[in-house]
Amino acid sequence: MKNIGLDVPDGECLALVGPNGSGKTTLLECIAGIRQIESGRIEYNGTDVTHLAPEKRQVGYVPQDCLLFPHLSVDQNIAFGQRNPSADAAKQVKEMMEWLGITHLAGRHTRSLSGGEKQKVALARALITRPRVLLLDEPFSTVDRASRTRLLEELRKSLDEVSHTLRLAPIYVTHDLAEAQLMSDDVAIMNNGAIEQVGPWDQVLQTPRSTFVADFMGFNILRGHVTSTENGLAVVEVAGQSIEGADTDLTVGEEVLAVLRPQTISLSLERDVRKPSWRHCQCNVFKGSVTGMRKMGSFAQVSIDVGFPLNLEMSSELVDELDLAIGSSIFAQFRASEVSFLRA
Amino acid sequence: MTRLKEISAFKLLSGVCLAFLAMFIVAVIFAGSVFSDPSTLTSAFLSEEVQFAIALTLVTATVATLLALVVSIPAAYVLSRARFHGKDLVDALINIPIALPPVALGTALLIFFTNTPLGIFIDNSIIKFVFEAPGIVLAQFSVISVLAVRLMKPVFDGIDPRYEKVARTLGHGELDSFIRVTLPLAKDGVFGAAVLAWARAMGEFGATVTLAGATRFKTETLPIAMFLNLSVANLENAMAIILILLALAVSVLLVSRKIAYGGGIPS
Repeated sequence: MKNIGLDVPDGECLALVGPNGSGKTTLLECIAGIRQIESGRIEYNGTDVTHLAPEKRQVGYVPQDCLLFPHLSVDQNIAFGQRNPSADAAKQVKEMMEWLGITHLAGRHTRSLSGGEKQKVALARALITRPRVLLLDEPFSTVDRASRTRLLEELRKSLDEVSHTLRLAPIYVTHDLAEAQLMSDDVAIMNNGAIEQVGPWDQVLQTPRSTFVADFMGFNILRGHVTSTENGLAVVEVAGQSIEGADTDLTVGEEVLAVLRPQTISLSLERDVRKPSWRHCQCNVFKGSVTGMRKMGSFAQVSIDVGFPLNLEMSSELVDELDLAIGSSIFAQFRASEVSFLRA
Repeated sequence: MTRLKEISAFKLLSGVCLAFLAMFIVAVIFAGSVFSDPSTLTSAFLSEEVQFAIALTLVTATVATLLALVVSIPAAYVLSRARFHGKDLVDALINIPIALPPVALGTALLIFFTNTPLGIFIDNSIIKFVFEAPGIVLAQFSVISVLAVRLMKPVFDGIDPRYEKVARTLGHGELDSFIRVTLPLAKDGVFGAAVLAWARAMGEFGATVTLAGATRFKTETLPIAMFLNLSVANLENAMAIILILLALAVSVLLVSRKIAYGGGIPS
């Protein structure tokens, strides 16, 4: 791993995303202290913990598939992190179970728990030690997709409460973007052992800083060259078409990559801008035809060709409304402010 | 149809092999039952010599097994978890006593205690091993400790090391995490290995006879008692000892199977 610069404020959840093998779990293990770093520093609230043993770091760690101790009951698992077993300690376990709504699991064997129950027990086990940092490593990787959405929402609620009450910083690792977006305020994107970009979701989605980030986020990436820059707007020619985007520091003739989120493109049967709120904005409008379409429940992925290929995501309802089919003639519309440029 | 015939022929051949192996065991039991009648067996069993051999064997094998566990559990754990230069070499080295005939191991120990300054010092000033009962324990220990490491390493391999990592983030040190998490998770495998090592120690002959000798009422374990009785053609006593060892082997196998397939030893 290299060039890792992360600052996680108390009470805000940071999602660590990246493809498999990008170093997310390794970074988490370094923060937890179960893996040593060769150089650099790890600080909690200004205290250097780089060379501190994991048991002294006050880190709550919820690993992949929860890893509840199979030889202990639910209560014993939660109480595992307590220093001295006492009546007060037992009371704390009870309170923690009440707080996370798992009192009914008292005395149960961990084998008989569902995915969501295991996850809550693992969270309780980590929180009972009053950690300063909470690390969650793909806690739902083994849970089926249908239950995952519900569990994520429950966890998000618990995390919001936990992080504000206990004033701790949760770091949530996943390779699923939708999951990360639901769980966190900020996002850090990892690739090849390095952090490519870190910031609030809005900022990262608005201006991806590298081709990797744009690609990982599923952006359309279009190669072209700058033909003019004026009034904070750059015009880039892509496959003979001109795309307008907001930028100030590009120079004419420069090779660039125009990047555009699939969710920011709208379709219309007419050239006129369809969305009323966009009518006063600088808008790109291109005529093209539908080349592919896949409905996935409430939303659909549509591919179009406007002289260059574009992928977009829209509601299935709008697909029906526009009566889209392969070969349909269509106008693609997107605001210039949604287009950002990366140097090629 | 051809495929079905091939499988049948294969199964038949496998069955013959199994039957052939089972015959060895049947032959031992058969020999025991036709040779001796119950009254001879009882008197042989109650003889002072056999009683002494049983007691000595139980004590030495138990001590050797406990000592072997003290060393083998950490050794197997390190071999399973740690990554270090020369690990393959260490792994191969500790296999040597398994591949070596026990009598060669006993000879090496005998030479160590009778021909090297350190060995002579230990044998004269600290604890007497050569031709004495502690020599039995050492001989058994040498044979079973590496066997126990071999048996326990896969047990530790099968336990996810992340359990220990989680335990450490929950405030427990390295040793504490091992004692409170890894060891309880490994208990069935460790117990199974201990039972097999104990049984192997009871039957140990080659290294024992070389290092501790075969002195009646002194270093006379069950296998040595059998050897001594056979050498003077006292077949009744020899057969009584064979049957004791056989009963022991059957009990050990039953206990091991119960642990392996019966959901482990109770907590």
